Amino acid sequence: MATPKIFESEYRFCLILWENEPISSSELAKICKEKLGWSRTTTYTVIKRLSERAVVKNEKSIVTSLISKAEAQKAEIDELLEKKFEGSLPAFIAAFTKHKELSEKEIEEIRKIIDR
Amino acid sequence: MEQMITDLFLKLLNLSISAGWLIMAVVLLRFIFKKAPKWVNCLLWGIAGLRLLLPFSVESMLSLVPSAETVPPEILYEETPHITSGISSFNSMVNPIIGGTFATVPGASVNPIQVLTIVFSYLWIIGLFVLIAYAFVSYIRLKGRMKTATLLKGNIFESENVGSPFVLGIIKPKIYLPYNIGDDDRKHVIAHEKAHIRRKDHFIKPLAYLILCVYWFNPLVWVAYIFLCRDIEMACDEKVIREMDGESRKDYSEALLNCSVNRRKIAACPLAFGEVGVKDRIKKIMNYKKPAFWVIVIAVISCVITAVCFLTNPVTEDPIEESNYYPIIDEITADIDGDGKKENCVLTYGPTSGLYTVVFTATEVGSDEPEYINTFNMTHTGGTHFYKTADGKTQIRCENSEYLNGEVVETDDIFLDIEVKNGNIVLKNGDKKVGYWGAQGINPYGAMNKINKLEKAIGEAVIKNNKNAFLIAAQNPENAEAFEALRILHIIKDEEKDVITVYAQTLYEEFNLENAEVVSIASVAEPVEVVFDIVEDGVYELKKYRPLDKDEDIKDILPDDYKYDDAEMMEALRFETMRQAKVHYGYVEGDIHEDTSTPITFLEEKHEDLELLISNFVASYNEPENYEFEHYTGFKRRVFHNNTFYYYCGYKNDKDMVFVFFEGFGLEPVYILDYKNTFSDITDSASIDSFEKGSSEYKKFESMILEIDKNT
Repeated sequence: MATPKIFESEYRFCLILWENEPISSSELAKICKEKLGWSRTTTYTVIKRLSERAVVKNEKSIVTSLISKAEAQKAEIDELLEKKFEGSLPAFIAAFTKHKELSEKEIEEIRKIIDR
Repeated sequence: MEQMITDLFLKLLNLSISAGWLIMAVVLLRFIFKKAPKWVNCLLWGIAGLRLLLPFSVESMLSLVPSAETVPPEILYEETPHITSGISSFNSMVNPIIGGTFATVPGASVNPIQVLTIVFSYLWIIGLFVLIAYAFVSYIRLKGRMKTATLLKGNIFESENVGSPFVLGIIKPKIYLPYNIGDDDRKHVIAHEKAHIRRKDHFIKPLAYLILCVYWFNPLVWVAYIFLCRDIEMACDEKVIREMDGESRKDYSEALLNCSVNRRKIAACPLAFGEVGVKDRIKKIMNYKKPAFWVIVIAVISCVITAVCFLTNPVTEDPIEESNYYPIIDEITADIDGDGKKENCVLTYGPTSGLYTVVFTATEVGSDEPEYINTFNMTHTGGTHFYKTADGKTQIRCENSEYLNGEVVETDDIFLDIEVKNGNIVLKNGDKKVGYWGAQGINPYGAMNKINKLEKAIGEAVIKNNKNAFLIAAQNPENAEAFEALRILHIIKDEEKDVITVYAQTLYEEFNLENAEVVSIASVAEPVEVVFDIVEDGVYELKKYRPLDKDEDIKDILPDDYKYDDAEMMEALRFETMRQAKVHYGYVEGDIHEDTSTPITFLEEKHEDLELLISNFVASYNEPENYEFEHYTGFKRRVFHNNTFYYYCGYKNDKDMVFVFFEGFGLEPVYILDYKNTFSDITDSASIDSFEKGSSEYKKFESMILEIDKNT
């Protein structure tokens, strides 16, 4: 099943969720108010929207995610590759490295991933 | 309700027209002062906004606004609608068309202009609601979309629904940015939006839009709004880059460019900031130089001048209230009681004795007694109004006037100036003397009832000294009457001895009524010297009455600066005596234009109505068959007690004769007299003159009028 689309603002919500789940909806709303500046009603609305799209689950006021962070990120990358690089990962990497300077730390991280 | 809406609409229409002039001026200034800082522009637009917001204004000589009331509210009710745009060439071009197209139909319950205005008013309200609703809906929708915007810091949010950065919110403004701006761009954008907030633009622009909603029908207001939006953006740019160097400015421009590409949903919403007119702004930013101090000074001065010239209304002349019995027209200094001294006098618009008669009264300040009453006869389709002009002069304005004073002049608006000359109060139409009244003058263009006590005393002396000098008067006492007229030329008052010496030109004239015509039978015109003892104020005792010798020239006695016109004076005097005679005989000539004290044209106009009225009256009174009165025998006037004039006109046929009586200048008959029924058999010789003074008919008629008086 294709991963449902998550908008940028919703993504930031998910970041908070992933870090704090499982969490009561009211608690979540409090954090969202602090970190995102969302009103309670907005948070509840987003929760409802996302649960309709099967991104999160709200059972008895406890909110958990149905899609993990990794899955979401993968979906984004797939979309980016598909849309902008005709599905070619090497093309992306080539463009990426040309564009961005990698720090030492980042190069280490990448090497670790490739070796895995 | 409908009345309220149309009134409001007309008021707004006029306001927007006056504001239109201001807007055009601002557009011009904006073009001239391209080098000035843009906040000056915003200030100018603020002035325009003020004009549109404030329903009132002050009047000023410096106003450049042609008219504060281009579409007068009276236009709805005028027979011939017209506008007062303040530009006479425009008026004369447009008004004939308007007057023709929208001429009222007599008898119709609404005028075409009223219908048009009502339609426009409702259209206006609909437009207003549509525009407000549009803004309201857009605002709500945008707010909804921004609900999920995530907080960046402070009052700055980011959202995927943002195309181009903007500020939203009037009370607590929030800045909304798209997610993917680079750090550099973001820095500049935030600075720009923050500058907007500091300038209170998030409040000003919705206010301007509200004004636009109210005045949406005026295209100039749209022009102003569009320019205002541009100027706000540029002023904001200036505020941000004021302290920046060239490199930073380039970065700023780039940020501007990047953000302007993403115009999506924002462009439709009037409350958010799109990025408007980007190309021009970038040009301005790159070429920005801090303006010289003097440029700013000149710009500010221009703003002040613009405000004064266009926020104020042109001075209108105030029509003076005519509601009081003796409302004041003007204050002048003239000698109106003939004592040789000029007094501060108050000219008042006295009570009219009829619909179209205008009466002027001059009263000495501090006195309750009017000294002079002068009657002018003017027929107006408009009206007579007294105006104070900007330089404090009083003018009499006669609209669509036609003089019945020996001259027939038809024009649209006549302005008469009141001038004081040699103690005379002169009415002039431009250079032409229309009439005058004053202490030493007898007015050839109107009747003057002398209340002046000195003149009265002299007049009595004139009569006394001339009466019985002519055999004719002695021979025919029943019908002959003597009258006098005089003009005081010079007065010498001896305060110590309480003696007053007067030099006057006198006219003594005797008249007779022959064949229903007033005829002058004898006259004596001579300059006299008259001396009185002043018993008390206003009471004079005759001491000496001496006609001047033939070799004494009156001109030698007069002061040097006195302008003496023989011919004019004699004409005036003769006119006056004739007038008095006519009044005495109750005589009204067929052609009323010659009688200057009785405008009764309106009665002639009532002919048809009267004939019907009379026929019905007499028919019900006498016989059932219809009476048709073919011969209208003319008008007469009688004066009865309490100085109430009763006019009557006569209608005759071979069966009967009727007199229809009107009180004063009334339009409704107060009495219809059926001759046959009242007196005797109708004879061929029965005419309007049947009521000759002293006749039995007259007496009977008088008692009838007294009856009417009692019953009313």
